[in-house]
Amino acid sequence: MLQRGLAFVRRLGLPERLLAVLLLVALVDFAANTLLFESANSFELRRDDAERIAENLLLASRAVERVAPEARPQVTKALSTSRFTLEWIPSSRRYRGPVGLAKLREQVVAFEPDLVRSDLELHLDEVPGRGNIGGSMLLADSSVLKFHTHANAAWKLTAGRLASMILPTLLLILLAWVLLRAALGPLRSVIGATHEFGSGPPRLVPERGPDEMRQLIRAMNAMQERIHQSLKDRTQTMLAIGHDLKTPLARMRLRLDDDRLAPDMREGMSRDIDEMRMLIESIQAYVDTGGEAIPTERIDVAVMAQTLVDTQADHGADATYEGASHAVVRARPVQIRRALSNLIENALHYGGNVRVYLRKDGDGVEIVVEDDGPGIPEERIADAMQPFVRLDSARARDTAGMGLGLPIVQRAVRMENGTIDLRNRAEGGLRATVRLPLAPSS
Amino acid sequence: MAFELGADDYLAKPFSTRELAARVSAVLRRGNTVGESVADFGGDTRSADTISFDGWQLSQARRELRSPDGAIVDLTGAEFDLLSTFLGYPQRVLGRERLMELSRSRIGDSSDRSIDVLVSRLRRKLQAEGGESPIVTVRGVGYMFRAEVTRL
Repeated sequence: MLQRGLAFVRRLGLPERLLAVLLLVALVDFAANTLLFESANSFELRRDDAERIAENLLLASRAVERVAPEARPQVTKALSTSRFTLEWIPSSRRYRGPVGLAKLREQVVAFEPDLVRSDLELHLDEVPGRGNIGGSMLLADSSVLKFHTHANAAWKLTAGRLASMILPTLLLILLAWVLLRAALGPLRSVIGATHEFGSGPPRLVPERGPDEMRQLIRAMNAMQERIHQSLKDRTQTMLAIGHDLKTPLARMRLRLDDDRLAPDMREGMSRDIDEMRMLIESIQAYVDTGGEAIPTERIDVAVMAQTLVDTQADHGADATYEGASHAVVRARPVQIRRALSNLIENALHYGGNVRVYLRKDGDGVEIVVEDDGPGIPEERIADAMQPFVRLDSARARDTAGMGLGLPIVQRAVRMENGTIDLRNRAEGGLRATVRLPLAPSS
Repeated sequence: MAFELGADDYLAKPFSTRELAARVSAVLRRGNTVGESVADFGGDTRSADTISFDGWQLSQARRELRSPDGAIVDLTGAEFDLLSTFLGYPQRVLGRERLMELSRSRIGDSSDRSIDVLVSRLRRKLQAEGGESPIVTVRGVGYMFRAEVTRL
């Protein structure tokens, strides 16, 4: 039963929920007031208190009636005590408090039947200042005598009245807060999911909150799926094209061995084929790094960096390695090797030299790849990480590649919960810093 | 995949005929060397895939070295061939010239000095922090692989 009720509330939209809250608050307000009026109407004072009020009123009214209207304010003032204040109003218009005390009136009138004729009215004072019970009566010349008195037993009613005013407001605030939170809470997870859109597999947001929010989340989840699917299709297409191009390229390369070809022609075509092969490989590398399905392995990334540096040095490049001999991380070996290799090759290509430093600190390993080249213009550093952006586009396209080198590094490093930071060195040249979490020792 | 099907080596498309020819002759040379070294070792001509020493594992087929805690340790082609040679002659002193001869498939035109460089690189890779390297220098003669080698 309760569950079904909750399920029903969950399906409600925002306007319906708002209406429900207002209705509930109105209901509570009504109930509190009804309760208050009921208890005020049946409120009784102790016998002697009621008798005191009756006597005081009768005596005061007789005294006031006897003097001339001009003297009446003074007389009422003289008759007032700290527990029983009187006030005379010339006109017959009088204020009747909203919370009447019918039973108390009966009690008082029972003691002094004379008061019936003077239309005695008793009510609960809103603001407990001069007293908590107020009242008024008509005098013979239809002027009004007002009075306020203290009755200890009436404080409960006063408190009840205050509560009946404050409680619905408090309830309204509380419910409005709960409503807003329930409505906007799911919005946060939507925002979180939006931030990670497009990187990695879709992260479905659980459907929560009011109806409109559920529809939004449902639509967004569907959109995530669609985008993911189209990215996957695009990836597949690129891989297929790359793969299919390899066969004709291989055939072309074999045909180059034909003796009838002039040597310089052969050389040129061989270079072109190499360039095409590199383009295809870089696309495949970029697309492949998206594959989270590849299992991770324990890798000695320090040895990996040394090996890459040594290989370059053996080919005559100005490459050095400094730092720890061993640093084991948990990562995808092919991807990380390609990432480091891209950084080293970039440094050699643009800077002419490369220095690799490796440092272990705490739970991470920091690999710094530096060169003494021209660096990257500050404002283009962010662009360098964008796929298919080539910073040297202004210059002749003398270098093979599609502007995928650094994006491949970034994707590979991020996939292992690492970070890459690219900045110009103060002394000139570029410094790429890769941080990877160290693997716990097994 | 190719290795699992029993291949000794493979080339991805597109390849040049020159590279293909070089690879084929390298495999042939390697085949001879391994046969020779295995014969030396115990007359067993079955080529063992995994060789282990001091907790390290060298997979011949995948050309992959793993440290005692299971981490992949990258080796250059020349380093791999040098290590394979050492593993074929454990606890034997090998002179520089003999080493060069046995590992020539990769090292090719190495000089004495480059053998020393290769050995020191290999040593650094095989040495745990604060530990000892399994390759020891025998002054004036050459090097010796002192760890016990088992073929799985």
